[in-house]
Amino acid sequence: MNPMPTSSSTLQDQPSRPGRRLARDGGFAVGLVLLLLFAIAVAGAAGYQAVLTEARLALQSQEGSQALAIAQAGLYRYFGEQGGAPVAADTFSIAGGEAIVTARKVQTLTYPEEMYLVTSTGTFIDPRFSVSPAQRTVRQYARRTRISFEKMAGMITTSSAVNLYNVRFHGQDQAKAGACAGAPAASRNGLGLLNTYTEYGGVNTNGSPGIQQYGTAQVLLDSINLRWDVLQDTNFPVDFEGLSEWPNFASLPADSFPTIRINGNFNAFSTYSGRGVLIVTEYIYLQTGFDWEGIILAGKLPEFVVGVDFRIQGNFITGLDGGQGTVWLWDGGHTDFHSCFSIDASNSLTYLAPLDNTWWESF
Amino acid sequence: MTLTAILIALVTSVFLAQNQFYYDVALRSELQENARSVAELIGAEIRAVADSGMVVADSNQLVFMTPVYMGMVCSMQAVDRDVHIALEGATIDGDEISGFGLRDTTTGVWAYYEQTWIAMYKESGVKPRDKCVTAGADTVGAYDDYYRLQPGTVTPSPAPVAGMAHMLYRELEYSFAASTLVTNGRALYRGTYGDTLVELATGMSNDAHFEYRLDGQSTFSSSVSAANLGEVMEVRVVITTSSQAEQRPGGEPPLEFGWTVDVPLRNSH
Repeated sequence: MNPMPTSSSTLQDQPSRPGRRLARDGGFAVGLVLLLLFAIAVAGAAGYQAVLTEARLALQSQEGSQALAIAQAGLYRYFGEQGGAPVAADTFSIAGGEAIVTARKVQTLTYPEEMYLVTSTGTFIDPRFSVSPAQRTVRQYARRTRISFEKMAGMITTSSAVNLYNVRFHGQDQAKAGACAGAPAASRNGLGLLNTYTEYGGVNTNGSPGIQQYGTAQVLLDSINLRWDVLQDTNFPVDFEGLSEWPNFASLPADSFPTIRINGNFNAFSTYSGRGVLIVTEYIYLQTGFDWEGIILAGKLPEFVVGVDFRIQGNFITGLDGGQGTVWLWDGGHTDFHSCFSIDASNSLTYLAPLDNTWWESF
Repeated sequence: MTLTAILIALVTSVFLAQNQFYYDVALRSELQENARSVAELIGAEIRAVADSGMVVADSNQLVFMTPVYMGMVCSMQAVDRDVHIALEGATIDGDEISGFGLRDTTTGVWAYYEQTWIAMYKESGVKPRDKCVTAGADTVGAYDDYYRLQPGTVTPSPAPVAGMAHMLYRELEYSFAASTLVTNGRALYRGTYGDTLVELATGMSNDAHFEYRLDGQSTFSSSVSAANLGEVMEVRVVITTSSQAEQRPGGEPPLEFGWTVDVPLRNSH
């Protein structure tokens, strides 16, 4: 006979039955709350993902702009740093990225000018997403421009007054037919000066005309179209700088016309005879026996150049620092225009001039 | 039971609020992506417009001739021109071409001529390439980039000569107008000028427009007369996007996002 629970008895007096206890104590709130919390977490993850994606898109947009800026900077830096024959490819580190610039020759224009297509690819790498760098490519045509030395006088000076005796300035091209393309070129001035000159006899000039007066130093210098301030700058790259680096011309190829810069005064002894472009930032003191093929650019000429038997074949341009005083070119000295030497020498002073209105971006 | 009900109500309200928040986040992200991508696309396509390349400059409409491919005339064969086109491995999509342009070697100004690619293309390969090599071109890596183009019925003036920069351009139009995909909405359309435009992006608000800055000016104006189109130096693209009413039920105000980009015309500087 099973004892029935009385009113005084409690559940604790009941025999233990776990399933029955759980069933009586069961509910759905916890489960539902857990489910809702899970749903909240999922929604939160989705929202986070959406925000993260948007943030990354904005970042990529910014990086694309940076890559474009790097490409553009590389392009202009290449134009600014090129002198002489354009380098086929160059790499610049700019603003946390890299610009790779290449140049392709597309045409030879009027000899020896050339047209190039310059391409700059800018790359910006975010260290957090290094597998997907931002990259933009820009292009522009550029003309390899030369200063037309072959169109200049055999000798040019900005002296306020020039006194001449027993000297020679030839504006007729000394280059023989076949020596180079276009030789012999049309005659130039034998001597270009400002206004005042006096001939004391024995002055041998020819050209078109033999002596040309330009009026003012500014007009004369503008006609030359020469960036003297750039050429004087020690940052402008030259092949040889200073007497300590004076080249051994015998060891150079015969068709090599290097650029040499002397910072300060220069005594042009015969031992320094050679070829190329000679840049003298201050006075050039010509000496007997000095022989040069190419171009000489000098800041100043001493007042007296007397009894000095020198010879320059190409172009001799002095007084680039501006108008200078009286000069006596007396008894000795020849300057002969030579188109081939002028062209060969001026090739090292070429630069790339970007063609306006030809910039575009490749996609 | 009561506590359970309260607890459930609280959690549910949090869930619903968060849900609405993330919906708004997603909607705002969509607006931002539309605005950014459109502004970037327009900027990329208009940046290289050369002088005299603007056709229409209005607050709701922008039409310009953008260079698709640039090149250089190597030599002339009677009236045909041998051209190096800087493809660098790509192929020409004739459908993109509205015409060609020639840059005057003296003034540097571009002249544009309407002609389809089919009409101007004569041949490519050995013949034009050999002529360009004779003219001094470096063909390494650009073997297939040489074309012989014919004038057809077009008479360029001045006549093309070797050394002239050459352009294959596309006349593109961007315009803001009523959307065909979203009722009562405004959209940005894109396409070839004169052809059927394609709806590029929806959700544009009434404030989305174009502005222009002319040479010598420091302020932008909303339209440019035909006589001054050649003076445009910079284009301002004002993209403002707005959500639709049905996307924000319950009378909530629309979500808005604005993105403005000033695009200097590189070839005008």
